[in-house]
Amino acid sequence: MFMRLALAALVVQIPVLAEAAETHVVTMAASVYHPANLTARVGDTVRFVNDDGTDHGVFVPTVDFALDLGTQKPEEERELTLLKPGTFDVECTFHEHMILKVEVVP
Amino acid sequence: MKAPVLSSFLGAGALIAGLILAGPLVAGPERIAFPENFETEWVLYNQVDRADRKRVRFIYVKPEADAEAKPGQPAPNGTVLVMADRNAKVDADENPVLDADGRMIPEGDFTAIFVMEKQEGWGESVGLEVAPNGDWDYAAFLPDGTLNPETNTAGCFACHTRRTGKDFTFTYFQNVADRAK
Repeated sequence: MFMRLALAALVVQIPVLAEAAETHVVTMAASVYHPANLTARVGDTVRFVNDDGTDHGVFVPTVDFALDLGTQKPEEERELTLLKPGTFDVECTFHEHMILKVEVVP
Repeated sequence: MKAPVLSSFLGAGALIAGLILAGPLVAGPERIAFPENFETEWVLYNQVDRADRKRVRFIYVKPEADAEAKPGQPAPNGTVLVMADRNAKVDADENPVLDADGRMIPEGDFTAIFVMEKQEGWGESVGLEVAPNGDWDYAAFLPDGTLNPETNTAGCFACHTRRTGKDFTFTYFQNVADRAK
């Protein structure tokens, strides 16, 4: 009986481990977010890496997700942990054409 | 010989009268009124977490102009936007405390109130020392409603010129578009 319960617990845990939180890297070289579209799960983290030679930023204008991570100098990194599902845009504070679309799924 | 003198006098008079009718000559924060009762009577349309400054920014729009706003179009003349800052709650290590959705938690009263207002022709009277921002002008107020003497609004112009494709606004143009979807 004990062995049977233990096996059942193992079976349940396998999919949980498969969905462990991930870190998604977004770069900024040549004033372009790469990738330009990102799908992530609740609990994941997005790491913004300024691998460009000029200042950039991470600004979200979307209601309920809006934030500003401040000026990001070359070689600096910022992280954003995704805690709720939804879709939002990321814009560079300095460069209007830099846009990243993020979809957060449960 | 007297006619030209009279003509010049009348011309100067007409010019002065025209300038008076055109409104205040002084561009800048002095021509923007403190937005009385914005917290209770205006539309709160966004809330921006500014983690690096440990501030939560509440963004309001004056309802009369907001009712005329159309997606994809510049904001109507008479639009007034307010960005009012409150401090964010921090932990023992001075890091912002987040709620279950990952949002910063505001606490205390407003610490600063920034206003941008758009009126027809205002862009023609701003000085060359600031970046062109259409017909927008800017002011920074202290919580008591007086102008903040330490704020140079040239910085407002410089920052907002990065959003020429969104009528010089970081949130409002996008908000009008998003709510129409």
